[in-house]
Amino acid sequence: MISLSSRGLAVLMAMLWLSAASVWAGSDAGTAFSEGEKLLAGGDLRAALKQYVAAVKLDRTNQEYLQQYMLVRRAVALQDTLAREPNSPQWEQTAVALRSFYSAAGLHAQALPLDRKLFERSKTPDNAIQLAETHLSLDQSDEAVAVLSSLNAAQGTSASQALRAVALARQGQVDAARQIASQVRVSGPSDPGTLYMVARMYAAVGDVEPAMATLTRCFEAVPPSRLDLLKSHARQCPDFSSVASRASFTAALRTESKVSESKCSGGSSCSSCPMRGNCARSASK
Amino acid sequence: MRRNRRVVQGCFLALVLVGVFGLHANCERWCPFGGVESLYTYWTEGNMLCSLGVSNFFILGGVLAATLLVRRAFCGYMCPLGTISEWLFRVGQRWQVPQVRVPVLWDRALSMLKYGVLVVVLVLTWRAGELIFRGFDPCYALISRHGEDITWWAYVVSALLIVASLVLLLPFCRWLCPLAAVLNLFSRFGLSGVQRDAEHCSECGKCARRCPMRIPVDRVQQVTAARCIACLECVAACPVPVARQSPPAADPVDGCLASAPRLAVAGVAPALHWGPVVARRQRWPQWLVIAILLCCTMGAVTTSYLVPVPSFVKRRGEAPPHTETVTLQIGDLTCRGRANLFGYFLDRDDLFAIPGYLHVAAWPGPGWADVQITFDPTQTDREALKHAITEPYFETEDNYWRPSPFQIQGYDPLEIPDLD
Repeated sequence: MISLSSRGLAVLMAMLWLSAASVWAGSDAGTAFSEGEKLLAGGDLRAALKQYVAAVKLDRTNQEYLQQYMLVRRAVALQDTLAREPNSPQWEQTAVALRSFYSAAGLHAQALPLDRKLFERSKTPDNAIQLAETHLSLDQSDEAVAVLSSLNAAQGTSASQALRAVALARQGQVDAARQIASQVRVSGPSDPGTLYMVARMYAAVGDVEPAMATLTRCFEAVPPSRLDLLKSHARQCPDFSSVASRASFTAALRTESKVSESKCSGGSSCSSCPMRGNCARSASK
Repeated sequence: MRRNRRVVQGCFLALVLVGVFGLHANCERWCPFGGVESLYTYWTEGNMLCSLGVSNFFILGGVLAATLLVRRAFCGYMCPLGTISEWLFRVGQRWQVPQVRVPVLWDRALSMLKYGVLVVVLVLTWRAGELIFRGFDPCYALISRHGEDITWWAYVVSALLIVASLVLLLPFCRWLCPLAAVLNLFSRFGLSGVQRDAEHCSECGKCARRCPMRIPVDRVQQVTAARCIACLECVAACPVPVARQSPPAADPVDGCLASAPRLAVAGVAPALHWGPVVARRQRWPQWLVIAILLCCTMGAVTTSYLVPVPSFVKRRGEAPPHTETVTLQIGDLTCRGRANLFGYFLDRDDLFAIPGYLHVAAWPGPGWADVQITFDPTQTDREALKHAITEPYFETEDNYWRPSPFQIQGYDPLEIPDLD
């Protein structure tokens, strides 16, 4: 027989109440965070921010809630800056930062006007690619082709050409896309962004083998801290949908990064740092 | 004598182990060799290497001062690696592990290796600007928080050292230790040492055989060898009782203690003793050697706390007449690389640039590290600085948002005035 004194019973009840309260608070924080995510997906940043504040207040130990709250707060501040100072000298920098936030959050409709303004201000290949990419995300391949076609031959880069081929393939002009693909050459070390575009281009025109080889090279060239995000993008990218079930695509997604990345933003000491030996040089830059 | 030394060795090893494993202290900050390794970088940049602190210079100064007074007593009484190595040898003796006695000539040749190790370590460390040999350092591997930053090479080197220590007496200390190479340069000028009473010495050679550093004590009047670790094993081994002298009388110092009949008899002592070089008749008891060592090292530790010199400094621009300083405790500011990154957060030229930031002084280390930020109050304020340190940032190089790797103790991001 187990006998409980009244004091013991009180302690037990208090412990049960505390654990129930913490579970309730945790789930409530989770609910608030999920609500915030829904509002963010709908493009209402201020309403989302309020939900994130509630989530952080209910669960102060959760770093994900805190980081998301701070990120959205920054984005709201950037929105305010752009609205308040439409001609500030930092407009372009602010717009690029905000459109990157929109793009990462899947808010392509919000990113589009910013991308258009950026492209109007400066018709660079980078701005054209950003705008075309946003058009493609909104299933506006005609507009994407128009934007990329507006770049003259001298301005065209491998990445812009590859994205134009992707846009043409999505329009159904696979032959035209193939013709561009036959002209695009990526040799030697290239930036992972260009490699990713080229991999998408090959996948879009049905050249599976070079697509997977280029995708593997791209993953190898991406810093480890960004690899998961890019792999996630590749899994969801419609250009790879035709190869998603292939073993070669699964193998490419298993590729590890070959880039040395400083652990100063993640490690605890220099001993295990892959940048060991370069720290002083990078610090003096 | 031997027991006294073992007690000191044991106490110091226990202190180190409790500090590192119990209190999670940064053992590297108290390594005198860290001071040697950081000299060049501190001289040229004003910053310490990796997770070292200016305390390394203080402890190096303390150990060098002790070396000038009592030779390499630090090695014989305090060095944790020396203690572990020596105790392993005793274990080997007890377990009757066959022991290797390296011929004297080989021993002398091998002992030169440590100068080569010193040069290689210093040149490569100074060129790289980092402690690139930490990954192979047996001392760091044996006495540190074993985790992500110990490479398997360090364990291999440590295992080799452990095995070697079972069959050889102090192999690392005698042949490879780069700190020993540095101390030898100072120990040669040591103000005290072992003195031999040549007249009474029976030349049995027991002292030389017991010397862990293989010094031919029985063949010199005064041990001047830089490698003497003041263990006093030779004094303990001496079987010849000699009438202990009273304090030096007005007798002329004639180079030996042959004038014993004229001295007052105050007790019995061996034909060997530790004493000052200039007044060879004076005998220093072992506790004085230990006291000098403790005073020098503990004095260095106390001074490093009383004079908190930052181990990382970064400046920007000219300071106006009126400035303000804010002191913060920053999480994950563990090393020089992280301090550089922290400096970037303040010295940025992006959207979130802080115009009034002037100067940062940091004491990187595990846990919460102290940081002092000096700023121009007419251009920025404390909240803006805290904001810049903790908020997510936009990497313009690859258009990517990243969370800040730093946290401020006691700072609540929710306290920032609401945006609406």
